[in-house]
Amino acid sequence: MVDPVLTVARLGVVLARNGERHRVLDEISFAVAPGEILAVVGESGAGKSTLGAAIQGLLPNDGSAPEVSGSIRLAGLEIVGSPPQLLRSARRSLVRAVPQDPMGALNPTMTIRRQLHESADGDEALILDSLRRAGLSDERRIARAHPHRLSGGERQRVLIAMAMMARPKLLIADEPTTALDVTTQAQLLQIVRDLAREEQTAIIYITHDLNVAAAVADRVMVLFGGRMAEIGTLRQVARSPQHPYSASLFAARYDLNTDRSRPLPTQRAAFRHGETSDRGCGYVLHCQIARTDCSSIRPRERRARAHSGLVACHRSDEMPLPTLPVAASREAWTGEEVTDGPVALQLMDVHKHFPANRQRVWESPRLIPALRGVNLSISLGQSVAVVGESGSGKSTLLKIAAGLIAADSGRVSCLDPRPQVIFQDPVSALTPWLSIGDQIGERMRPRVTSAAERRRRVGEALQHAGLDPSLMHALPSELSVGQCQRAIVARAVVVPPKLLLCDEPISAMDVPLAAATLNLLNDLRRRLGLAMLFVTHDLAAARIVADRIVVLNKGAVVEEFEADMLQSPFRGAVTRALIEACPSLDAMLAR
Amino acid sequence: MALYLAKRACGLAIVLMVMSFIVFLLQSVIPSDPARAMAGPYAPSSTIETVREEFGLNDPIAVQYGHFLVRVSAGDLGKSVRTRQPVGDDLLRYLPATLELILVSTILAMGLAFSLILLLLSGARSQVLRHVFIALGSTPIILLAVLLAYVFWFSLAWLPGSGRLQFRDFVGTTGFYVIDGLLAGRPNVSVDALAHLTLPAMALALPFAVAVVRSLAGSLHDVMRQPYIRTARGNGLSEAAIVLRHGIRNAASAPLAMTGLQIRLLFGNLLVVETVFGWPGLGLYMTQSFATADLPAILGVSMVFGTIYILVSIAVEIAQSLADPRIEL
Amino acid sequence: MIRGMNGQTNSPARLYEGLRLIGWSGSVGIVGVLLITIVAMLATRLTPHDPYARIAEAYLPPSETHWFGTDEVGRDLFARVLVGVQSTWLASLSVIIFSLVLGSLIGLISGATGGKVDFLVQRIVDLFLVLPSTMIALAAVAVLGPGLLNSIIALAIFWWPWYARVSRDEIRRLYARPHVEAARAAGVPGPRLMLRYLLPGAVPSLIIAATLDVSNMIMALSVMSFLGLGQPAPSAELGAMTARSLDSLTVFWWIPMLPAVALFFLCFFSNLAGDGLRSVLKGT
Repeated sequence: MVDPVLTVARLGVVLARNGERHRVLDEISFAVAPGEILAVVGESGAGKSTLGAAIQGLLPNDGSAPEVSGSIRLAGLEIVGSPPQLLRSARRSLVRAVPQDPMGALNPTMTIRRQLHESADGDEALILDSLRRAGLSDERRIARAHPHRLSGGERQRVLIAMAMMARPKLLIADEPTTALDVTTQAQLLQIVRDLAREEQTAIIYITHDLNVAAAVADRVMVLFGGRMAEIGTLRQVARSPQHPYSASLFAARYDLNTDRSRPLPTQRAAFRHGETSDRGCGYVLHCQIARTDCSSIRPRERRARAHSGLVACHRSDEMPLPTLPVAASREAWTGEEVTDGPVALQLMDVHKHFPANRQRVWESPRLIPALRGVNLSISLGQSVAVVGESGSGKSTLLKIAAGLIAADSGRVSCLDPRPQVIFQDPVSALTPWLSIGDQIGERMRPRVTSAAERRRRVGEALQHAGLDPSLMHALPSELSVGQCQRAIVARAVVVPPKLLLCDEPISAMDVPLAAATLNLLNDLRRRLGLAMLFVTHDLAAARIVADRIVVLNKGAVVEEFEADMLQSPFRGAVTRALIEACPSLDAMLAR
Repeated sequence: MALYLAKRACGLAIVLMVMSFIVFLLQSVIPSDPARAMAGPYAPSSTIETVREEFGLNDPIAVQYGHFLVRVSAGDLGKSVRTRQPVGDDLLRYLPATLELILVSTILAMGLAFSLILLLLSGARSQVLRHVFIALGSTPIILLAVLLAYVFWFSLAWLPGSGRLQFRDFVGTTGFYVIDGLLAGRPNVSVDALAHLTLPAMALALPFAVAVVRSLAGSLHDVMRQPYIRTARGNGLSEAAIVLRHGIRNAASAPLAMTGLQIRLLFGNLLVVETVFGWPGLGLYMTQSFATADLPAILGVSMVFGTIYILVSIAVEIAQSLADPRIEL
Repeated sequence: MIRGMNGQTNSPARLYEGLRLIGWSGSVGIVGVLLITIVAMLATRLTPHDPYARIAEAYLPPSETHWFGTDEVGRDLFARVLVGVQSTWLASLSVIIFSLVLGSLIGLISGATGGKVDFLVQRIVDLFLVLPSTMIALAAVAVLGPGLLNSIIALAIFWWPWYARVSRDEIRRLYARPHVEAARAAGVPGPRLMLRYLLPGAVPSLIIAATLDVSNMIMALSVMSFLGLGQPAPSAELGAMTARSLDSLTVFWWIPMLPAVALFFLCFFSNLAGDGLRSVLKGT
């Protein structure tokens, strides 16, 4: 075997946040070989990004210096404890990173050419060549431009070109495609794979999406709470996960072939109250098979029984679990599909334009079309998903249906009461200074005047959404992301609307949370007989949550079909491109 | 660019009109009688009546304003009540002194700002430095001017602190004595003029430089947390290169905007400084006009300062668009 | 059923966190501002001497009976500085509070209404902001006749537009945030949306802006007073006291200097307080 590019041994990181010290990484050990792609998966807060920062020697230093223990050896160079000068030269020549958010990661006051030139020594030809290899065909325009002239996808390609130009030994990609749509994502994943194969670059690919991991990675490392749960080749770990947490992660995934007649399997509800201690296993409170010794003795990494990797669990011999308790509740959805109910939302020939920046005062503003004659109708009890790339006009469509913006022309009709919206980012969709109960109660204000009655119904709504009613007194900052999403659902259904509008509600969530949210929405809309409009760029989610799928492209509806007919051979080019762009773990396993 | 300049030229005209109109309007609501003020307290009523006729004070305010606009566009700003001279002549006489002071203090402010930035970047005791900056920013111009005068003029006697020159007989051609001295082949005049300029220019420059540098420090602090700074660090650039090439330029917008705001406050400072240091410029001329409610003079100086203000804000906006390509003129 | 997991953000912890963020200098500033306000309220009651009466020889140096000595007429300088602090501080606060309230409300309505109303209001604000306001205020007071009230009115007229701009920009920024969209989708009526969902979000920025602006106002008022546009002769205003005793700077330097030093402390403490508040409210 070739010498690994990167060897991490017993890496521990303690960071100070708001004056408190947190152990973010705890005894992590792994190695990456040249040309190998290692996916690092885990939920938000598992320490994935900190791992990347530690390898670059760029841990945040807010007030007090981070404590780092253990060793990171990068191409023979020890990173931990190295002087800044040495770290800087390591970053210049050995390790590069592609960040999560391409929008802010380029200097707005410098042209792309100058930023590339500064990032790695190279002449004009190399700059243009790198841009072309990153999939930018009009590389001369891009090189001349300032970042604000480029789209998100273009900026992410520029950042990849920037990293490639330096010909690093190791590339750290921290969720580089989360902010992009599926088509762009598929192209970028291809570029990353080529980079590993052609340049023998070792790549650490950080992601929360197992399907994405499957599309690029050779091996996978599962992190939970700053500790390594399991590491092994992706194929083996996916087939037979040896840690209960990995098992739940892999069980909760869904793709274009998932059974959509019943709830998605998820284990995130199995949370018990109790204390975790550094001495025990970090997963003990979520674990189905934990015993008393799990909370007192920390499991060490050992050879996994069912694959060639490592696992840190006392009870991994009992894996796979014979029957997951959650599976018992996975009965098929009940209730007939409604197709001929009263129409809850009707859009007829809707047009919408947005003004572009004016060049001259006396010119009338140039208009950019967002929607071009869209027709759509949703009956009560029916669920319709609108899918499309970014810029296809799907968010505009939702805002028009919600009455948040007005259409330029065409007819929009809704049943009363007004439709409710579930937003993309649950945390920012709650007002930070008002309690959860206040915000949910707001919807009953004109009708229900008694405060006690309002409180009672808020409590009911919270219970519907799977939250403890006592949370009505909490502020949003005291809730987790998942709880915020449930609170928003509670607000939407406290006075059951006829129409529920969902604006990419799961695009920023990790898999178990996304699965739980899809289940909740599916359950509520059936239970309350709502019509639902679900806007997403994720065909797999669309297929699970919707009866009918509408494909939007450049502001116009290009195709409309039953969700079960998604994979039919008669689909049009736009839909097929979307389907092909969908990464799938199962497809990988089947190959 | 041409369009932008045309737009701003219109803006200048509108601002000057609004300014003069406000002053005119105020004049009409006050009970005091400008005719009496012009004629003097002991003048007989017939004289007052003559003055009233002569200055058109019997006409309605709109007509007066119309006359005023016609006169001003012909270059006639009226007669000062105090000096009994045409205001236009007075302005021309005092303008060079003020312009010389403003120019020298601008140069001084740039130098000060630059050295303060270097001090900041050297990272010397940042907490102490921060509070020194707050203290400097809290120093009222009155205290600063009086302190400078007392310490460097009275106590140490290092620098002169009153007037523009010690040579009473010197008459310049341009009115900028530093240049005039050189033109007349008397370098000692230039040196003396510079010495006289130092204290008032310092009093004007220091608050300005401190305000700009404080705002730059604040905005640099925010900029250094931006993701693109992280990208630059990830690319292995040195910290100095990151601050100079990525930090300063992105941080420049806020202090430039700050400059625009500060200029407005600086006119007050100019008046105080010219009064304390007996600087015979427009500021002192205006302060003396306040005492006699000399409306034509006040209006005239306001117009000049208004024009300077607009020209400076145009320069600031152009600088902003040069610093940040996202800002279009 | 899922319960809240991080319930430790209770109020004592928040208070502690707030104090930590203010830091010692911010705390000094806030205590200083409170003390100045108390002094300004009590003013002449803090000293036995009449600030307007000749009670001793002129130009007495500081002593136990006359802490700051006596001025060029023989009045107690300490008593006069106290009165000066009172008028300057209260006048500055009232202009700032007036501008803050008026500007915030106009900005709130303009930002939340949007469309033509917003456009019109913002053009008016633009016009105010492009004017050399100090200049016009000076000219206006000179024409209207000197006096504290005229100075206050003239400054207030030109001070609120800046708050209207800050408030409006902040409201527009909030308005585009998902939580306000959610509230609108939930059918919250206009006035309630403004007061409960928009205004509280803009308050921190406005408070910071106002606190840091107090010293600008103090400086503007003192400049007016220095230039003879404040109250006429016997009154005690900090700027005018320095201006009138400027001739005695060579010998009795403390007479013009002490009122100016008092001005410095008013500005310094309000700036320290503003700086501390910014650290807390912006969390930096």
